[in-house]
Amino acid sequence: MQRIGSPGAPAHAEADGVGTLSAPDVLEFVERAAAALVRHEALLDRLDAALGDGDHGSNMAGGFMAAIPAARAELAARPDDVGELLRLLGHTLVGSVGGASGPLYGTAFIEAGFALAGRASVGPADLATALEAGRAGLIRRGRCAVGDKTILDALDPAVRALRAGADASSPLGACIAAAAGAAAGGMRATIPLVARRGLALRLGERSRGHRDPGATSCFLLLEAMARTLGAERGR
Amino acid sequence: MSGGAAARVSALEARVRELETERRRVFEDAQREADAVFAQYQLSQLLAAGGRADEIAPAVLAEVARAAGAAGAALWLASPTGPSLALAATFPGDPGDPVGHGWAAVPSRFGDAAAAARWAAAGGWSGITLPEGRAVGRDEPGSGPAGAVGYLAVRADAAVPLEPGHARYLATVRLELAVTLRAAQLRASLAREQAILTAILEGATDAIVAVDAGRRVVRLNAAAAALVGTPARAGTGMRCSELLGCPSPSPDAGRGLDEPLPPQAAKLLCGTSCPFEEVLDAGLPIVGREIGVRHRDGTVVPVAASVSRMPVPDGGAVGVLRDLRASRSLDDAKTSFVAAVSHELRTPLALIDGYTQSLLRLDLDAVTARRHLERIAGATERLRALVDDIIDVSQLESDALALRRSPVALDGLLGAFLAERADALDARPVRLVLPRELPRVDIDATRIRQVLANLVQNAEKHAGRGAPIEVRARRLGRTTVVVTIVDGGRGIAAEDRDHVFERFYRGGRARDGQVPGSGLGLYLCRRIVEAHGGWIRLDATTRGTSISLGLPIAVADAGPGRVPAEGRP
Repeated sequence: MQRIGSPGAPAHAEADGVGTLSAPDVLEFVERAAAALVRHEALLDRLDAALGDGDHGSNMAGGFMAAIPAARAELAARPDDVGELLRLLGHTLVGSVGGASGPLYGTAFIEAGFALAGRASVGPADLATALEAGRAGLIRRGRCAVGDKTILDALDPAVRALRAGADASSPLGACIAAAAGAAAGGMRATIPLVARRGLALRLGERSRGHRDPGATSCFLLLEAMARTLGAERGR
Repeated sequence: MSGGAAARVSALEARVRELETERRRVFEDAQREADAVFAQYQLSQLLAAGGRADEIAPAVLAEVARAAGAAGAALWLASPTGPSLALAATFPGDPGDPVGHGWAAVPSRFGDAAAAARWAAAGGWSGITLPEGRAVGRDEPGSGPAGAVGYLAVRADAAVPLEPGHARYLATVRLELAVTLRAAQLRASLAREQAILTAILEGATDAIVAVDAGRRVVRLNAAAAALVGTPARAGTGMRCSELLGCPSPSPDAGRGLDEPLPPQAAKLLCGTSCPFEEVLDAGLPIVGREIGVRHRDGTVVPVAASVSRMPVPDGGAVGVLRDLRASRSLDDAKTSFVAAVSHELRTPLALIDGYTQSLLRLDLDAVTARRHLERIAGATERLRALVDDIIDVSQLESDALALRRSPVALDGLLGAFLAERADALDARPVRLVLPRELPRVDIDATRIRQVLANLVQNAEKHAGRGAPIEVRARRLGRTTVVVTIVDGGRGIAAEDRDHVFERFYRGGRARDGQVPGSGLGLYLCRRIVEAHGGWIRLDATTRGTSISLGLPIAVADAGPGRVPAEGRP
């Protein structure tokens, strides 16, 4: 099924031969992400109960579900600006995802959107630049570093993998799949870490042995992105 | 396109770039504001999670330090009772290097927050006092600040300056920090206090029952649960009348009792006047009032009730109920002891008196006078023995039984003892049964003789005329020799068997005055044998009485129990 793409250009053009991300893909990503978060809501809540206040799953699922109609409306109003769509998604998430995750993920999307302002479609290198900007926003707002047992521990390896893929001129689908794989590794690597940020901070050594719920939801988002672009490539 | 137009286009392009830069700057300002708000949100979330002060202090300090951009930070807290501050947390948290490389060591104590502030200012730290709220009810003017909860200091290092807004941030969070940390401290001391009080309450042997203003039970301790036969969990929430089995079912029913009270329940708590109600009404405490409570099985237990109002706003009262049964039965026993002892004292005294009067008033021949004097000597001996018993018991009560132990050959001791007794035994047959070999025992020979004398005398007294008495000894295992005194008398009534070794206890016939005695003999025996680390017990017999005592074998003779070789001399 052919989806609506940017007017004046073939939908999901592969002009440079590596694939692009366009505004409709952003909507599909939000829908896939919301579905994945709802599916794993209980798991995320359970992970968060060990380290925080046990509501990360319900906060993320609720926030992304709420972001779907906002993203759809925005896409209809402005079907050719990936950056603006991501930025407005970020603003929605700041308000719709409860707890600290809303401002953190929201900031990342806002900064990523700024990096892609005015672009109708983006390739691997631009997407890597956007995710690097998102990562910088997350680091600034969360005052966190890699190894603090946070979202960043999944996001950082993903951004590096994406950049490496872009540098090697890999197709976009492969780049983002590699990024999701790296995020999974980063997520698993949070288990032995001692938390240095957020509510888990008060647990000190007792935070060891638990997987970080933020890193887990970050992996789910990258996985949703990979499925979005992978499905496109399969058509 | 004219040159002028081109210039205008490039001017407009420059203007667009300018506006874009402006937009980016405004956005970045807004993001910085958002960052500050988010930092405060994260701190509040951490503070709201609660916990013990020593647990949350490091986390809170790390959060504050990150938000202020500090390379190092330290937090000192005052205890709720004094102004002096103790180091509670440092950032980074490495205890060996509390504030990072090249920095002066952080003091672990300050006399007060002002001293901490002076130290911080001198060392280039940026710090805040966490202020103590004014104590409730102490708002007289001019009393000044009520002290400090603590002091928090942050510092940059050469490479990384503090956030520009760090001072404002610290000022914003200091009240929240102060309140949370002090609350955590108070919670901890409250929990400690509560644990101590619970231990005292549950360890108390007196029943303790607390009721609210509506006389519903809010707490009862283990002793109270046992007293009324209702588990503490089930008893909580009951009306006090229901828990204590008072005839008046509810305080609202007033004095109008529907059914007549059974005689023994006439003094139940609510039966006359409920002390809880009285205290809640009048406020004056009640001390040691004797009343009754009813166990679930129906028995009425006499108690001494002391009730006082609880000094809390929503009222209530707490009652301490001392079970009087034990002291009453001890009182009973003491009374009968006094009666028995006076009887025992009076009999020989009367004898002595009678014979002395005869000697004084009559002109007796030498033989008669001699017989009178012998009787007086005999009565005096009985008196002396009785007084010795009384003294021994009072010594035992004060735990002053000093033993002079040595290895003693029991066969020799028993033989000599029975030979001495032979004259006084009025030709009663006493058989001594000994194995061929018996290890020595580690005993105070004088004390154990006293025990044997008591037991043999008992056998004589209670077994009836002509009943045979037997004393046996045998080795039991590696450490004990058992001596058994058996008589073929009437034995001990089943209801008395469990009590014969108790102080002042006398069996049924003895209580009826048929047999002389003070009720101290077997009690003394038990205490003396137990002081040796041994035991004494009534053996199960179908006829007569058999009492055994276990005595410890002397260390030199201890070892695997040897079976005596057959046919050895």
